[in-house]
Amino acid sequence: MSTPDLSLPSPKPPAAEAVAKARAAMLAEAAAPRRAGWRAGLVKASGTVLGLGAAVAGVLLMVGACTVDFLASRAVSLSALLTVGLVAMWASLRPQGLMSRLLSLGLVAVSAGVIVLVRGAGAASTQPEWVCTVSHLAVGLAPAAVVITLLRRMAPNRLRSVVAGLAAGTTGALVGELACAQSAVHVATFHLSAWAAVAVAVALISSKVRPTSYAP
Amino acid sequence: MKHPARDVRKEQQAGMQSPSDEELMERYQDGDQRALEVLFDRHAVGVHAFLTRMVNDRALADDLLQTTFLSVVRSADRYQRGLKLAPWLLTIAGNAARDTLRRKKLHVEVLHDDDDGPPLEPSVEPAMSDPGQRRRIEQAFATLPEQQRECVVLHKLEGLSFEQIAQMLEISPTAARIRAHRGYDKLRALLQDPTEAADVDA
Repeated sequence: MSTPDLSLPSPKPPAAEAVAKARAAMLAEAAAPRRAGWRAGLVKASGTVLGLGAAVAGVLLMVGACTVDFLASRAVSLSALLTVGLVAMWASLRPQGLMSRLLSLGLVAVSAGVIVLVRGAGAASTQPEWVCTVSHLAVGLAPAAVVITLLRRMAPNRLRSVVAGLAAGTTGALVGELACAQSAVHVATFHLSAWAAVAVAVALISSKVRPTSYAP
Repeated sequence: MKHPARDVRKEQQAGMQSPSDEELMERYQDGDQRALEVLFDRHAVGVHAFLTRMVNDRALADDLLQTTFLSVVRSADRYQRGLKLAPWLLTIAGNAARDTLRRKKLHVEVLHDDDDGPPLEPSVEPAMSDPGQRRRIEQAFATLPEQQRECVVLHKLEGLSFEQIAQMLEISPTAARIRAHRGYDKLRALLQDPTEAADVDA
């Protein structure tokens, strides 16, 4: 490829004061206690998703709203959601890793298909269908807040934010598998919309928040 | 006050090989703050030059230089051992520049003769024999869309491969190549066609 002659002279070096200021700021930051790294953040975010899911399951079992047999019948979809939630969380917070984030999107699509397909005809409910959407959004708030905080510590990236939002949204989808017995159409409409809404909300909010670091 | 760069020079004088950027970054990750200072001394001017070309604003480049190295400190754990450090630094600088421009909605302005202290001035390198040609290149360069300008700067001026640029920007090597080619095409047209160059001046 022939490229144009761009024999531009180097820009004027930075003023000594500007360099000194940057150096002093860097050293002051380096002297402060180091904050937890991305792996600690991953543990925290994953723990929030798993902890909330486990707490909901525990409460439902205690009040008799679901049984161990019922949970066993949902083993496939619960396993798929747990796996995709953890993989997506890792992919969204790790340095670099474009391919892992693309892979996570694929896994989310597959697991969304799984939770719809294994549901079948389902059972009728006395609750309005939108109750599921609202409750999924509500349980997704805490993990969403955690991932937004963690996303501030790295360079803004839309794909990263969407994958982090999907990881946070698996909490709601898990609750749907634990507490809802309605049909596949209901899952496809009212559960998946909540999942997508959490992802969109995380992406939108994190794009507005100024990051504290621009590292990839 | 002890200056870390002098320590490195002493190491060289003592016959020890100067530590690479990557070794220094690993030392910093392990808690050696002097390694960070050496890295700053090595790269501050280069990163500033890259930022100046990205944002075409020296004052903003000064701020972004600080932002870049603060990011290095805050995210030292995100540096993956084995990666070349210079492209990682430029990735951080580029991310900071893009995000800041997006937030400020700044438009890179074409330089004019009556500018006080034009951002791009000759310094360590010999001045081009034709100042008019230099100004035309600067003007053409400033009119490039941000994405194309970044790829041209990284490829032509920083000497990175399209694979490295792709990794930095999280795009495919083909996309990096296309952005740079479009930038080159536009520059070529602006530099060869006096009409378009005049339009740029206007």
